[in-house]
Amino acid sequence: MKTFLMFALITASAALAHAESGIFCTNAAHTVKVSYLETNSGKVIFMYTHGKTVQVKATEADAISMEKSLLGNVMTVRNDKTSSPDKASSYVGVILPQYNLSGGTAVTFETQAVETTIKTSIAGPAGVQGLAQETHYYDVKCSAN
Amino acid sequence: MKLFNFIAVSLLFSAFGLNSYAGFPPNNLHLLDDVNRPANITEEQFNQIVDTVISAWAPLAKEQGANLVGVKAWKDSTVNASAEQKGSQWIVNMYGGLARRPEITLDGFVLVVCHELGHHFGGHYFYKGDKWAAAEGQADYFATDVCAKKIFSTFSRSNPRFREGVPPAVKAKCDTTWKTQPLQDLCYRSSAGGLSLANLLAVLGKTAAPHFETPDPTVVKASIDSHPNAQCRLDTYFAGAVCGAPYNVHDIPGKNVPQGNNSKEAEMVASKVSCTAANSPVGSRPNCWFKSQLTMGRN
Repeated sequence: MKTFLMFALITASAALAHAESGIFCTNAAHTVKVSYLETNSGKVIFMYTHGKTVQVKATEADAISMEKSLLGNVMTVRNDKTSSPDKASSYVGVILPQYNLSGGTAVTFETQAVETTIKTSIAGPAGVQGLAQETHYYDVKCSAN
Repeated sequence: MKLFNFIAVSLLFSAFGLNSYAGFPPNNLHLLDDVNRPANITEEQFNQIVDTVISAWAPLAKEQGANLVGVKAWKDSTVNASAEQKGSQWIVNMYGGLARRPEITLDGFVLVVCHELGHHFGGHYFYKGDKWAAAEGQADYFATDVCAKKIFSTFSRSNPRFREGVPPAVKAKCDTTWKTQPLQDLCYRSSAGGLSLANLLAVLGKTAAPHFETPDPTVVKASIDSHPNAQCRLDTYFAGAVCGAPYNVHDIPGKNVPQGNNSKEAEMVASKVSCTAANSPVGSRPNCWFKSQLTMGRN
């Protein structure tokens, strides 16, 4: 047991030592969790958990989209487990406010995690009648360092 | 039984072959689907086409550890088709509502099945962040570059009929790549199927009808994974038909490359079995959706 704890501590410390920046979000019930880690060597890990299931895990930088808007920066990743080409594309993400980090101080903020499904067709979204997107928002508290 | 099915499908394809370049019935956006309305495709043909394409790729899916399933929903009026993966089940969903559209010929419907198959097997270029699904343009390209060639080549008796009335623009490019009559005929036929499907996509997408003579001049700055416009899609079907690069059906090019499915390294792997600006500019993926990472300013 002691050995395991030692190993876990060393592993966690090593991860933090290599993590250049990170964002961690969770809702009050801890059923929705978003984490994003970027190491000094440029490796990234994005995870989106809902319930007990990891919905999306991405380890490639180009799989993670960051779009700037005046409402905030939207970090989005495709959910390939629930996406079905020509039928629906599913995405998860989080809306991030603008912040500046200095002196190693973490910032905390409240925002929303988002799960959305965009209906489409073999001809694209134009082939869908009526409402083509269904979105769920979850209030989350985040810390970023 | 298999021989019977082969002969039956071959005859069905032969019977409809001559109509493919003859223009299409006027588009009618208000046409309500009716399972009993006469269409270019019968329920029997619908089922046989799906079975033929799926059975051709099922062994290749097995090599990938997957079970390929074709869902044949003839009575379903949905004007669509789709692909999905549930664990090791690789699924192609086909609906009668699309097959009954007046724009769709038998060969156009083959390309729809091939397009959905392309999402599973087409490889690079992929949907961004997706571990399995080829992007829309790539699925289109696979449809004629790989799938149609494999399927239509088994109907060698009916292929020569597509020589008759082939548009000059199609003949010129097909004949540039393919030097024998059977391969040229195959190229004409795949192009005709592409026109049928692109016409339907134009109607569904509410865009202008596409033509072989007016390729999309758009040059994207980065590859797109969503649905290109109908003209761009026709350009892609045509490019696939014209591409003469040897394809390895036992591999899904670029998939699971450690650097990422859409990485430069994945494209390098895929370029060995694709037409590129370097090895065959005539059949390379059109710039209206695809931007190569390998060479600056070239596809």
